Amino acid sequence: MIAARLLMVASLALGPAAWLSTAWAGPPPGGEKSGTIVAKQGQAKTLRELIAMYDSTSCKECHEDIHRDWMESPHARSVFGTGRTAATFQTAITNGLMTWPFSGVHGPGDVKVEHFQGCTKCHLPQLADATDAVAKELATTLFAWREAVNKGDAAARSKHEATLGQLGITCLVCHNRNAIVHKWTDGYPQAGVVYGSESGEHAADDYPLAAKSPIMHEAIACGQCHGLGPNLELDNPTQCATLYGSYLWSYVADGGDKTCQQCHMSASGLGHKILSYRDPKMAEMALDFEVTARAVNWRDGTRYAPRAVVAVAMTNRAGHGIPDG
Amino acid sequence: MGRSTTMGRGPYEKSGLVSDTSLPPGRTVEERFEVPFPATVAKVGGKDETQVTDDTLEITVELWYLPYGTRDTTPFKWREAKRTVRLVPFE
Repeated sequence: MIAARLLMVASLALGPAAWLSTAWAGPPPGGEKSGTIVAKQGQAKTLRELIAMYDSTSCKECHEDIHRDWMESPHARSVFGTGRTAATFQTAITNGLMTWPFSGVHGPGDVKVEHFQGCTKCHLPQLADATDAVAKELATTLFAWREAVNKGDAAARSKHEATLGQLGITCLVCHNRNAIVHKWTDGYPQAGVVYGSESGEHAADDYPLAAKSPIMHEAIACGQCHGLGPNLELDNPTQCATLYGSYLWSYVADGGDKTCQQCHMSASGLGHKILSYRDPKMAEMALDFEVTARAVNWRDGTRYAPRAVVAVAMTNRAGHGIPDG
Repeated sequence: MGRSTTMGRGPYEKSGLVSDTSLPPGRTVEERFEVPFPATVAKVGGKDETQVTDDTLEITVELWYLPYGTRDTTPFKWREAKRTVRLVPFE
């Protein structure tokens, strides 16, 4: 009798547990907000601290090929770029912030993190994990670099380019900080965890765990930065990339089913180079270009005016408008 | 700012699109050009007569992406096509 009763209790206990196991396949990849890198380390107070916070140089000890590919990507130097990006950062201050009467910015020393968000939301998202002192240091470095370029001061230019060149979308930005989009659902990315395609141990002192990111293979991972269009959440909205918006509302709406990663990493064979039009194969994949030309004996009234008629047909095969970013 | 009829190139100069020259995904955009054959006009029997000086045109069509709007800064030639067109005079 006692045994029978115990079995019933066990059965009742297993019921909800069995239901839970079907609704929830396992532990979420993330955790509490208090476990993130910035929560553990505190906000960076200098550029050097910010660079160290998301430094990924140790990744190349085991992932040498991937790291080499990443070094060739624009992600590796998303603030300096070819110099064009750094110049645009600077003109966004001089031609934008410093001309707007209510921005509070009269020079690079007035620039705060919020002022940079139109640029750094994508070009350096980790700046959100830094104090305003870091934004000011970044702005003054950009101005000093530009001045060195204008004056032909090679030593100063080299020094500032070295600093700006260390600011980028490092491994840890994609594989930790931005690896989880739905943080209330999947948890916040945790310090010490590298998010990718597998879960388990990860042979690195500072990052001993690997966890499967729920979005690493999805277009939304890239869409976090490669934009929907206007950043209307800012006090003074800006617009840079519109690519993810184009992907969603044009390419997918017309039946497209490829992800960013399938074209820019897999089909192109580019891996972590993740290049676009500057790579010959991507440029070829993205566009059909057909030109036909024929001669026409055109008579304009009594005047004979022969001409060549040239027809150009351009078909965009990419999953987004081109050009875009 | 991307308001009214005004928009600039820089990200800080717009928050919308007033005009867009990009190529939309999955669609074909067509452009058409007419190139006159080189010719002179001479008086023949009191009337103007067009005389073609070269009946062959070597036409090169280039597609450029100009991030800064000119070829001075990081221009990118996406495609190039060459066509030869010969004029066959009408009877």
